[in-house]
Amino acid sequence: MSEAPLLAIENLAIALPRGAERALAVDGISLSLARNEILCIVGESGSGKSMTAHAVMGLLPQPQVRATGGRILYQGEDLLAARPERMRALRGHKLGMIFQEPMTALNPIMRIEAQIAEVIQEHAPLDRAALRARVTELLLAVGLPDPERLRRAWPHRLSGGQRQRVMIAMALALGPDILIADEPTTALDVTTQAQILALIRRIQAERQMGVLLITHDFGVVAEVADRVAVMQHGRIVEIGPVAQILQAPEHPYTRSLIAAVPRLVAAPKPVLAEAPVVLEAEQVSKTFRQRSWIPGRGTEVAAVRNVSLALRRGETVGIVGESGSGKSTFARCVVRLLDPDGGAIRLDGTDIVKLGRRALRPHRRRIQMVFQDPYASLNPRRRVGDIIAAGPLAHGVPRAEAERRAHELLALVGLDAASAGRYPHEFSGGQRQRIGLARALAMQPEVLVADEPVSALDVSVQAQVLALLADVRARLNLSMLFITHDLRVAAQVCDRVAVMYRGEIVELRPTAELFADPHHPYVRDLLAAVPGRQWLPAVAG
Amino acid sequence: MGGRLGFIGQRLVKAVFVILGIIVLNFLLIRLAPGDPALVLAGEAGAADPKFVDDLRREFGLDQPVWRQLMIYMGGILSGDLGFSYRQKAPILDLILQRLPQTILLTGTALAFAIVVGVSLGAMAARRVGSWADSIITTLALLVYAMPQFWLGLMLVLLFGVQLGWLPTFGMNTINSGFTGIDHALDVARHLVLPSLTLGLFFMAVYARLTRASMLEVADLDFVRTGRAKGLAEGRVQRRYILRNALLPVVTYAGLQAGYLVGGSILIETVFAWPGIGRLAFEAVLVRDYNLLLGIFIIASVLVIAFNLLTDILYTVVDPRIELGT
Repeated sequence: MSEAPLLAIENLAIALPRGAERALAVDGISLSLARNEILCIVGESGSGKSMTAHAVMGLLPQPQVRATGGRILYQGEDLLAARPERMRALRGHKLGMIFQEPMTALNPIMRIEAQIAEVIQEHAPLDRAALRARVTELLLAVGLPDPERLRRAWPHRLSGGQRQRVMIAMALALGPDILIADEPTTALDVTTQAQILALIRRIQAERQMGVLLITHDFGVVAEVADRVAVMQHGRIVEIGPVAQILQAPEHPYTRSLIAAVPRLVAAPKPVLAEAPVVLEAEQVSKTFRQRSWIPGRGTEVAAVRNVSLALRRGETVGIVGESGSGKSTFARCVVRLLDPDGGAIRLDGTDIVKLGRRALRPHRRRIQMVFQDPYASLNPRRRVGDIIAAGPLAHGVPRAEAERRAHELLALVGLDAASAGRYPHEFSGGQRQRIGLARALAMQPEVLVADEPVSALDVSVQAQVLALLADVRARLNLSMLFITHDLRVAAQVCDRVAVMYRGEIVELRPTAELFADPHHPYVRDLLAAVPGRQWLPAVAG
Repeated sequence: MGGRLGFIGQRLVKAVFVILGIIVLNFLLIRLAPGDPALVLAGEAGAADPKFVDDLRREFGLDQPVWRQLMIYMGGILSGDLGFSYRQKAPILDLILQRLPQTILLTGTALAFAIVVGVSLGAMAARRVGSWADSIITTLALLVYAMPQFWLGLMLVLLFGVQLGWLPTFGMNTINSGFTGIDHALDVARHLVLPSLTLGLFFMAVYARLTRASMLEVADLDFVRTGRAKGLAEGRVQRRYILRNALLPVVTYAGLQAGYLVGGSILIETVFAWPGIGRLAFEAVLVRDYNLLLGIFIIASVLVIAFNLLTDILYTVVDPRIELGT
């Protein structure tokens, strides 16, 4: 086409409020989006990718954050100079947007139909019958079954995937020219993610839209992008066709990002069949019950059903599953944060399920846990040194000894000794996860239970933390239960992998075997859903 | 809807036990307080000789052990009899029912005023957060919130009643006016202004602050951004996305408050000589009218519990995520 591109960003600059990490969130970027293409903007947190997307929509949190330079041209019209009423008329009509968190993106007190109908009535009103037909048509178009029932549903009745489909239906309601998707699948399970990505791809092609997709995940990029822009610290470091960026990246930052993506193929690991079993779970079950006053009206959810596995000294067993599969519940049973209601958990032969609080105490030390959220799992009011020393102190280690150990551990996890006197908020996410690891190691455990320890981290930080875990594990000959939803991470870290589905282990085999030749149909589906599985990064780490 | 009915049934059963507990507690507490009703009665009759006092005690059953008195009282309540006030020479239920409508009129007006004006002011402040309008509203709300009610009442009386002479300052009607129909209604309305304003201003301040804080919290939530991304007009985003979601805590608070207030505001009714339950309670305390006081307590606690239940049910209407039952 010879006319102006659908969307052109020229020299865009977005200023952050005074006192922020840097002056400009976005520092002079230029890119263009053509009709009928998907442009992915990829980058780590703080790269400015999301700000760019919000600027196009005119949704920056003004006045704190505002565009200070450049132009955003939509079919030749500068959106930065457009009056608020003009932007409002474009939003939802010509420019559609979907967000990262489908769970919170819908108004909780409006029915689905009302939320979709609202967009239409705001921009191009229809009469009742036509409106209803249009909503039904949209719900079907995004692959939601039973639109008659769904129209009347409240958002909280829908799953995350369904809500994201509703968001897409809303964004598509008036056939926009541009769809902006800000991390649209990050909060979703891998199989749901695959479906949503396929849906975006399909409707983009059907409607000849331009899609601007923001993501941190190179797998997603490999799956949907036509072109890719890589952002770092508010600048575009590299932009080009997807094949070029993925197969022959030029910029060192792009290379390092791609190198940090865990490979889906597992290297064959040494067999540890001779090592003694440290931890053995046998037929562990946990059912959550909600009692009711009226007999027979309570509800039961069998979160974990007859799960058995054995963990040998020095071995890492991965527990992989989607949300609701029971993997975290099982992990919490193993460390006795939850009491399983059936089965046995043997630690060197002692069944810790049967032990009372007092008898359990000496065994607590031997199994320690690393949690998912590095921001929520450290007490913000205590110094890091005290956080790490708290466990040993509680178990009767003298203060001087506990503090000395805390300093050693900080060195072990790659933080300097001065960190002991600082508070958690002074550290980044990756550093906090190191602190969480040091806290767990302070108890000199034999078994480490890590519940999604890297899923809240950027990919480069994730690679560092995984390397640290591998290093610590080898040095201390630790056994590890590694809970994750991310098959790539599992492939890299685990000796054996157990896949959980609806509370049960459906397959438990050595990692390389399982990835090469999955037996169970669910495991096959799960592997097939990993974004970018066809793409094997050409650049070596 | 079986869940909802089951829930209500469950709550009603619990409520009965709570009320029984309240009756026992109040019955015992009131006997711990100093003062002997027989002595007061005898004193007022001008005959303080011990024989007369003993006769009075016997006549009213005050010579019986406390537990027997309690059993007799409970038996009466179960058959719908709250007892008899020997001071007012009337059945207690009648006395309370005579006063209840006036109290409901006063507190209902005050609450309606507080909610409508408070929520509007709070919404206005939240929408223009940081502006001069916001500053004025928050400062005023804080001022009214911090001011003792009796003092506020006195100032209003001084200003509008005494200085300006615009509004009557006590009672519910003009005595011996002989007003009927619309004139009567207007007369009552004029008498209603000052007491309901005094009572309502405090709650207005509470609701304004609550609404403002809650709206600011909701304004940061993801779905509000979705509303803007749809290109909705700002007013619509404010009302349908922010305000409606922000009202949930206001509903809770107002529901609980309504329960307490229907029990009567002793202070306001006394200051303005408003013939409601609160003043009845005050009078009963002065003359040690145990039965009347207990009756008022019971009615008040039943009302509090009823409004609590009502609030819970209302909640399921306002917020579809909350489901009763199971």
